[in-house]
Amino acid sequence: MSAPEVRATDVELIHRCQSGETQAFDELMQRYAASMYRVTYSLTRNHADADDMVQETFIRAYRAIRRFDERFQFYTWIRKIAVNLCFNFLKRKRRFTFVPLPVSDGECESADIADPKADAEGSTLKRDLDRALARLPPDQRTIFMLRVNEELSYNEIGEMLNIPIGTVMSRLNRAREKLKGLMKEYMPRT
Amino acid sequence: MSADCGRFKELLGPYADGELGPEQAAQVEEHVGRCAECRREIEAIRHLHLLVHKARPPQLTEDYWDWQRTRVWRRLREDRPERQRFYRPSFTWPKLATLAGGLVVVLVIATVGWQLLGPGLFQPKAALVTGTSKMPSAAQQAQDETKQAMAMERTAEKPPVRAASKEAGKSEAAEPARLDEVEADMKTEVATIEAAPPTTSAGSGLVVADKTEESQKQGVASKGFWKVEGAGKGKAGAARAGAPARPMPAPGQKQDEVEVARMVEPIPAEEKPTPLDVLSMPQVKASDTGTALVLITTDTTGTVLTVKLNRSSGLALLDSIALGAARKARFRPGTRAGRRAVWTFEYPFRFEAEKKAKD
Repeated sequence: MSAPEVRATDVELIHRCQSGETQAFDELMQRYAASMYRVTYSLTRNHADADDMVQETFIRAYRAIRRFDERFQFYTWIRKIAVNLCFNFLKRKRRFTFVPLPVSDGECESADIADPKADAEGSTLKRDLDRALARLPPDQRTIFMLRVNEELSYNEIGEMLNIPIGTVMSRLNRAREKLKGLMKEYMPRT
Repeated sequence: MSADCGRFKELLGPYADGELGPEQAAQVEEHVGRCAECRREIEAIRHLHLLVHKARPPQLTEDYWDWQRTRVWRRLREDRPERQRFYRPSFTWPKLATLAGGLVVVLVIATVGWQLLGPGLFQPKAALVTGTSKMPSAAQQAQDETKQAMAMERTAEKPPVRAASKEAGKSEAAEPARLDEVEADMKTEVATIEAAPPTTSAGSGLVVADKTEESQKQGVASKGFWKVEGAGKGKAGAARAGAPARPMPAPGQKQDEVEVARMVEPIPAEEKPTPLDVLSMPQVKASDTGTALVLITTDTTGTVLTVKLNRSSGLALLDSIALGAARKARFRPGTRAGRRAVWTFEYPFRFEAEKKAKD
């Protein structure tokens, strides 16, 4: 009977990574790639962009791993990197017209998607939500998605984006008002 | 909507998010219990959040995550940190453009310098085998050199005004009248030199390659090795200058017309090959004189096939110069029975001391 495998903590992996062990960073990527994809997808609403952002996040994290402050969690640290990357990406992208391509029911966006059928079930809602979110300014969109998807507190959002809580609150309210108008066919009738 | 709704409107969102303090939350809760519209507002916010949760990100395959890690490592290997890029040699387009620009500037300077200083500055002192070239530019250049040499000699014999006019004649295209004048002078000069006995000089030796006796027998007047009808004998003149002469236009005839006339000239029944090229020769002493007879075989295109020293000039150096010049020479193809044919003929290379203008 073999001894149970002891899972190294994030801090241990970071120490090994800082001493030049690349395998340790690979382990960290394995742990957090899906979480980072969820964050980046919620902000970009596009598989290809989210995929690029995840890659860029890990590349930046690897290069800055020696400067990692152990007082913070690794996940919090890389999530901040990912959010900032996405926020800057959305600001750049806003210079161009963003029109999501119409995806018919049952048509999957990428071959990487595990269950295209399940993904297609909510494709109409997803498409309309993507279009509505695309109309929001990048700051409102980022704050809204961080609150709803990541369930971050106003304080955490403010710290992540370096803005006061009052600004977070007002932008979040404006984002909700706009989205309610844009998604009114999905809203409960009054 | 009650009057309190305006006061609580901004707090409904934070209330739904659970971001309010206990006191504020209690106040909002009390208001929402009384106000149906604010209650619906809170329900709408929660429903909106539910919609976002429903439109969840796609579930990706396990292979995708492995593939993504592979790509991250590949990019980390390929994209080195910026500070290391300084050590990479990179030939980017801007650098290439700068290099190309520099080369263009150098070429322009070289071209302008060449035109200002004149091609004669770089001309070797070696004598030339007389001949002609089919290339108009080379023939034109050789003609210029001939005229320049003539003009230099005239400075001793003629009033200075004439020499000045030759100097100004460098821009021939701009002054065709002067060109005609100089060419007319050349004809006169040729006759004068032929009549005068050769004089020795302390200058560099000169190789003189004759036009063939055959062409003289055929009564074709030539200037150098260009067959020019109506032109005076140019043997000595061309030999002294060591450069070919172009056919002279008749009065009222343009140079182009002469060129066309030459090109459509009928092939003679039988003619020995005549040289076409100007060949540079190494410098020899003025005292080294003699005639080397070289047996040359040319094909139907005028290309030299074989060379053989038929009679030595008496000096091995002159013989080797003659053979070298013969090997490099190009000939106007010889003809037999009105057709171009392979010819073997004896060609004299005469080495004479350079004639110097009389003081």
